Amino acid sequence: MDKPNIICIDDQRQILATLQKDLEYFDEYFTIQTCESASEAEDLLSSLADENEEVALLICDHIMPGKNGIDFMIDIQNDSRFRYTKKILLTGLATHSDAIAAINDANVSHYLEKPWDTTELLSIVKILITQFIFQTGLERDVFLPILDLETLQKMG
Amino acid sequence: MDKSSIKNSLQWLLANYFSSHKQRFFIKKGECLFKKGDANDRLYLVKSGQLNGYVDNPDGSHYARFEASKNMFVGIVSFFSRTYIARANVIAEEDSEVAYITKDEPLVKREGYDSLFDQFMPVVVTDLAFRQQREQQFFLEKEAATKKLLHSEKMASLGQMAAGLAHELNNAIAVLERNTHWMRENINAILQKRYPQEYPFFQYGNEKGRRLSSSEVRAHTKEIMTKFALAKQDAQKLAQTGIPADDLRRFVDIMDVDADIIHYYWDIGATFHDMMIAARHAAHVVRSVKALGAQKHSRQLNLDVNQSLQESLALLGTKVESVTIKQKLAELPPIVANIGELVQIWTNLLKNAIEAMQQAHTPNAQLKIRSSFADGAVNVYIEDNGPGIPKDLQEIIFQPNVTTKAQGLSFGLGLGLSIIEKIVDSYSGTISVKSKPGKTVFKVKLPVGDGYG
Repeated sequence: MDKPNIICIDDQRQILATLQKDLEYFDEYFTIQTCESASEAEDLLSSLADENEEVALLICDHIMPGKNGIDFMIDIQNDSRFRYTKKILLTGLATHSDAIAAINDANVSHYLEKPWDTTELLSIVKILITQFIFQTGLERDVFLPILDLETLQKMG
Repeated sequence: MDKSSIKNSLQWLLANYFSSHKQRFFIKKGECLFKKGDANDRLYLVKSGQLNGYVDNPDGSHYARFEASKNMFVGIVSFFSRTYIARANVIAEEDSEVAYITKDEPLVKREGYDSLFDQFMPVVVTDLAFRQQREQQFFLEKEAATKKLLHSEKMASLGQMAAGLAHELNNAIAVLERNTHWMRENINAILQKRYPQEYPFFQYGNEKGRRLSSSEVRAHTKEIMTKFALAKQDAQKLAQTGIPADDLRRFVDIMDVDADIIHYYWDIGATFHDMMIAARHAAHVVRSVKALGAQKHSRQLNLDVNQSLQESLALLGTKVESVTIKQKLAELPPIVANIGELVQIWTNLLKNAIEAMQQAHTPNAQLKIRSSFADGAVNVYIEDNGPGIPKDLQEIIFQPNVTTKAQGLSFGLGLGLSIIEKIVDSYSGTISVKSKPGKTVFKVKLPVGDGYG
């Protein structure tokens, strides 16, 4: 089986590179992909779905040229192929109503502000991919070294 | 009743009621004709000069409610309302002559106008309408002035806050920027000496940065996977470096280095590149904000505007790589200017143009930079073939808080053009924009000082 994907979306290439470095910890178990716009991410998602690859997590900026992050995630939320995909909103600029839309309509799992703390990001990612593995019923033992045990116990 | 018949009526009134030498006198500038509340049973006509009617505002100030010049009436309200009590303080603004009639004025017969009121009505109503119009205009002017005052107060306090913030941030940014530079130089020297094999990858990343977009990386990954028969993860790492496949082959074949190592050293270089860009960007943002509350910068004689344009292009660095730049620079006389300010103008305009074209994904994005000398002024034109600026936006584009920029890091406070206008203004210059889809031109005109014109 192909490794599940973690996809980072941000219009700033330097931010993507930094995220990629932070996520290197998961490199052995997940493919880390980057996209510079929502439309690029949409193309990537549909080609991954065509190849029956899993998308475990989206880490997405909000304010980008073209479609913004929350609108993009709302669309993904309505796509049954990605019903277990977790979403982190990572942004330096979002209004109150943006945040409401993110929670109510996009079902965003976590909201992180830029600049972010790497330790915090890693622990959140760990929890979210643990939930993802559990919900999708993927072979848990394979991923065990990088899963969050507390979350795993909670989920039974 | 049309204009000419009103004029006729006025002429008739002048001849029949206001031509008597008995009911006529001079009033000196500054003298009071009557005060508000005074008994007044006269209707005055201004023969020459000007009289103003003042009322007091509740706050103690007073303003001219009406101005009556030649052939206009004073005392209209008290006369025609038949209260015969003055409603305003009427003062001569200049040496004037007035004629008057009293409430017991004998009626002069006119065909079709049976009473004094009938005869006066058209003319007096015209006068009153004029007064009302004037009052409205006064109100609008006052409103505009208040708005302007509020705005400049807002900008001043914003400027103060910005200057404080900029000062605090500047120290932090200076430390980051200088030390990034220092680290970069030293790592460069160490790697070159101790790790000659890995050094080229560092150097490539350090010089070129992350030159491939995420979609280009994906395409490059596929190419490398097939060419080198590598696993996806390794291919992706090599692809990210942006090193062309043929060059990579040389390294891989000759030195048998693996993808992780190549990527690792390349990433150190590319990260330094990122850090320098980010530090420079932060410094630029601080400079822009600081300019809000800025005092005048020192200006040098004989500054070459063309050179300031080149500096701006250099400052923008990789940002300009995505567009084709065409320059047509004329021979220019030197001007008295501060190079920092000029660079700020150009950088901002160029950056706006590039970002607009990037956001709109303009095909064959192109920037034309022209300079010329005409009528004692240096003109700089910055033209792009982007989507253009909508008409309604063109009108307000130099006001603060107007932005079309969405991206977090491109600093969409909407201050750029208002700062630029302020700078250009301080050179007694002008900035203007002409825009339609496919062609937007910003023109900056800077007069050459006296010594050269």
